[in-house]
Amino acid sequence: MLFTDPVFLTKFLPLVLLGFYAALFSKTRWHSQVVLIGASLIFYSWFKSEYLILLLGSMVGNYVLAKQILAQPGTAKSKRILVLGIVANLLLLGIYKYLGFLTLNINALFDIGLPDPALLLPLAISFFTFQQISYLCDSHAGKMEACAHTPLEYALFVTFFPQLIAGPIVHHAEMMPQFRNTIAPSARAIMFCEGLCLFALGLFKKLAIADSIAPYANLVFTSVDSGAAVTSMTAWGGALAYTFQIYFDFSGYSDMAIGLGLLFAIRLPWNFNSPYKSENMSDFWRRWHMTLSRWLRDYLYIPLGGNRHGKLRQYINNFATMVLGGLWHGAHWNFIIWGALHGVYLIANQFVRAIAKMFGVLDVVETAKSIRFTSWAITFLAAVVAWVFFRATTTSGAFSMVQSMFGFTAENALNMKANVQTTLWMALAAFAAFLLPNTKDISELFQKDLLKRPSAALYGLGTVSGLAAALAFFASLSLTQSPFLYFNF
Amino acid sequence: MTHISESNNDAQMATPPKSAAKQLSKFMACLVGTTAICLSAYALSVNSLVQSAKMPATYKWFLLKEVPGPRIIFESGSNSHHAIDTDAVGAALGMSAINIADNGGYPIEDKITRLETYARAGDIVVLPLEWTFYHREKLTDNYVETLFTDNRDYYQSMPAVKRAQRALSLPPEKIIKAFSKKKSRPVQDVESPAKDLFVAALTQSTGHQSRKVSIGPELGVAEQSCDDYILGKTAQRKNLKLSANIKPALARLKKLKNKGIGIHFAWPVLAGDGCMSDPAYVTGFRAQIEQAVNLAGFEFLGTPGQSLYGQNLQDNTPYHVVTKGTDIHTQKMIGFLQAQGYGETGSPLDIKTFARHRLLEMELASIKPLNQPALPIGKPIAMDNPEMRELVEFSAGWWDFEPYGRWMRDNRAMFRVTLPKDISPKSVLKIQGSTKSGQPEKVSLSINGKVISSGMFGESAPLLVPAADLPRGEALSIFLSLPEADLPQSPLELGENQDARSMTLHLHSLELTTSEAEAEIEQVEVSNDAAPNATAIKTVPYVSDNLVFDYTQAFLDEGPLNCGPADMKRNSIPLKISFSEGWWEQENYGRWMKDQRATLDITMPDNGEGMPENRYSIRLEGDFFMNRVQSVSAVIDGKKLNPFTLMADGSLISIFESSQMGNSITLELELSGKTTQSPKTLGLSQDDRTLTYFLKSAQLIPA
Repeated sequence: MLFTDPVFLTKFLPLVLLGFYAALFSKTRWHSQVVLIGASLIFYSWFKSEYLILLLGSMVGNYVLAKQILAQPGTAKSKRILVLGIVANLLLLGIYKYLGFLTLNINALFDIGLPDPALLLPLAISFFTFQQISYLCDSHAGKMEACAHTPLEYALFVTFFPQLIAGPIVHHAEMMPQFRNTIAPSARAIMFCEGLCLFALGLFKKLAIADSIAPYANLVFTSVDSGAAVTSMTAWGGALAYTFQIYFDFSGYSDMAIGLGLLFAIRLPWNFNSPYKSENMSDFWRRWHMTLSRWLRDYLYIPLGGNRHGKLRQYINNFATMVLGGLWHGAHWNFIIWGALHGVYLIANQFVRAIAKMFGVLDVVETAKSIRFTSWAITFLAAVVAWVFFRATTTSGAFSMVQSMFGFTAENALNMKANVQTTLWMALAAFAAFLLPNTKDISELFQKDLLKRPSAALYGLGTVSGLAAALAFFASLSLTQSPFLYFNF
Repeated sequence: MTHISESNNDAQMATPPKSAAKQLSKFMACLVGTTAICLSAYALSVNSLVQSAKMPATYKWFLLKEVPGPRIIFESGSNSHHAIDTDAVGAALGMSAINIADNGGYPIEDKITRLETYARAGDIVVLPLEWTFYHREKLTDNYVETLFTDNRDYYQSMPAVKRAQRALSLPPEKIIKAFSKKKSRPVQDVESPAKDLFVAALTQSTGHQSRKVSIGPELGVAEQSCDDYILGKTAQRKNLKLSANIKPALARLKKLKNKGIGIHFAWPVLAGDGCMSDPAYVTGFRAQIEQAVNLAGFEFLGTPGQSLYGQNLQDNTPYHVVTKGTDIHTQKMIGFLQAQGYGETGSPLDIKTFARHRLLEMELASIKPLNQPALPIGKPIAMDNPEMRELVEFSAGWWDFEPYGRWMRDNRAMFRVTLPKDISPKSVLKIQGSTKSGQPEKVSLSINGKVISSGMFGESAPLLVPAADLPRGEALSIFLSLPEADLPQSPLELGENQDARSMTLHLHSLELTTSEAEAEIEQVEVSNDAAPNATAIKTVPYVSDNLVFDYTQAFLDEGPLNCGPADMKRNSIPLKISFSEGWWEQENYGRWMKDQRATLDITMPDNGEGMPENRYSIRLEGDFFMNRVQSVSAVIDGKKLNPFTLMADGSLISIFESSQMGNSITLELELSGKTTQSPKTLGLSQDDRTLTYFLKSAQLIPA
């Protein structure tokens, strides 16, 4: 069941909302929590019920371990339990996500003919594993009280269906208090309206923009992955198409998830903040998949030492974090290369800034318009090049495409023109990504004194939301639709 | 984030709930209102695109809507169109049997809607649904693209809510395309709009048809196994599941059953080697289907194995059988139905005769008020003069214009003309023509419902109608009837040639004149000279299925002339044609070939404009001079094509391959005849040009 699925929109969501708001009348908090947990488990098992056991097992196991840690946080015993928990989580993730990849590479290196485990990746495993590792770590770090959370709260934290499948990767500190907050009806109503607005905008971003561009990106990448060479123009066209497709697909999905959360008066963290407006790579990672960046920073980069041990060590930590971040997306060399590229980008950015600082021109670099524009262009193009590795399914295909992008074109290179419709959608996507306010900006209108605003603002927000919903609906009528890209991770 | 949320909550808590509700209702009203307005506008736009016509678009729809009950109705895709001989079923069971099976790509839900609208208590519906009906969920391109035109009856048969649902399921790009088509070539009123249905009434009166001899596998059939063709490759077959549409469809059929309509499922016919050899669907998918159908309270007539035939009975796909297969399977079906207790004494309705009369009635009923220019005095209106013949509206009962005349298709027909206000009291309306037999035949003529005359009519015996007492300045409805030609026959039935159209009277010209004002309308003595054109006009070797194609077409009745490119008028994809050697000057509706050979250049559509295939059918519409049908061969860019096939509607079709996207190809036409004649040498007119074939339009169809 996808967020765009008619069954979800016309049956599942209305029923869950009905159940949730009916449960609120009982004034017993756990009633509404049970409704949401039940709905979330149904939502998850709709995809593949076999993996429900895995999710439940992981949840129960981690909760029990966390309880053990919380009994005596910070001790050697709790550390041992923490290590056990992390290893168990990573082992689970490793078996399902990386064992096949490992087998393939060992066989290629040593030719020992290990059998392919051929395991199907359980949906959302990367997301719920990371959330639970952070819970264990914070339990050990003494950031929670011993009886911090009830089993129901923990279950809802892990399974809450709007974020379960593809994030945002939530942190217990931002979720658990919301399960207990008492919210005034008027505030709840505003959150509901905000949720509808975000959901509509997310639908539009996914169905109208991302899905309209997807066929061209697929065409170009399928060609290079099958061994064909493409012209420079085609390579750039395909890379740009995917650059916008993945942004509008994933940020649209995230907006829908946040919007859905708000319908239940739960505010999920933002995941995107106009990343293609970034003027350097560090900025890019503060704006792209923000909850993953946050997780990697808090639970990988900082534990590795962060910037506390000198520049060289900082560069190494940055690189390692990005490579592992790439690997988190999937067991393929292309993801590792993608992560490594971003690691190099970050190091280059930090190096240039350090040099500028050394010569006392950092202020000039950060404020001069021409330098800022150049920096933005370089950042965007660097991201585009990296996306080629992220999207291509073969490493040779990715390198062939990058070669074409930089003018090293084969003789019989294919020239695949985007049709007028795709070109127009790409132009709109670029305009929206570079210049328009993002959904976070729009959402903030709801949060700041909405009720005191002139009626025109409310009418405007309502009309924009209605228009987005209608256009998304029309786009959904197209005979071809793409699945959400981040469901693969 | 939590901080923002909490501070926000604090701020909102202070707001009185009433005021908050009022403010937020503005947001909600705009959200819901905007969405509703957009969806309504979309649905209304779709509605405006659907052609409105009283006449059904296809003969199968005519059968469903008009044939009185109780009936046995066969509904499915083209599979059953070929496999069930409804003439034989009707004769065996003593009931009217009609075959409305059309295309396996049409949605099951819309098929059930039409049954809900037009099936009546006492009818028996048999559903030998093709396998694809059970698993396909999405609409096919073909269905969506034809819903506004050839399949408009599906849309029009829906109640308002279902129309809205269907409108809101159509992709916007198709709607935009349909709008651009409509804008570029608006639908015009067609004279005698039932003529295409009449061809079908004569050739497939109960709706079924199959070929006696296989035309060989169509593209893609020979290259894959029967099972692959029917349900996709092995991997796909393994995962086949009933579509989400099946359960509601069965519930709706159950309601129909409760209304007194008999519903029976059957298995589709398959013909070919290796069909149904994969257990994935023989035991898997089939079991799912049977279980769902049985759970809903229905049963299958027979087993899949009883619908399975060998390669020798295959026509062009495993879903289509040749006539021998039709006969065998029809007898099985009759047995199944008899076993269910169906069968009545007596003979079924003669659907062909019923259709002939009913189609004329429907044409007459669809006539609209007319404001036409008056006939000129003293100027004959010949049927070969496109400008002059516009002064006559051939309202009902006519075939298409042909060179030098227009045939009445049955023994009754009507046309409308307007007389000028100032005419001499001695004016007469002179009607000239000939009869199919070549002999004078009795013709009765009535005007505005009043019988004016009755007499013999033939090549040298025109009808003369005194005009003095007729209403002037308004359209006169002139009704011709041949009381002794109640059973008109076609050249095919007469063994003359393959033309399946029945015909009676051939109208050559009309003239408002005073020169013969003194003549009385009487039975006149006529010569027995046979009219030179009293034989076949067109040959119809095979009437094609009611299958609908997307095509590119150049119409030669408009646009730049004199060998310039013909503008594309109906479709968004332009097909440009320029005439090279062997053609006379452009005329209003087309262009004559001078001789046996002629060439034209066709600019192929761009690859990016919706014509992805490199294999095409080229279809020429036109008429042979004096109906002297000849075989036509063609060469494209020096490569010889298969000879053109003459289709039911008189068009010529051949298939070719070309990868010249966006470039020009040269088509050389060659007719089989050896001599050429002009209208002057035949005494038809003063036109001394040698004429062979009159090309009206050319279409390109992805094959």
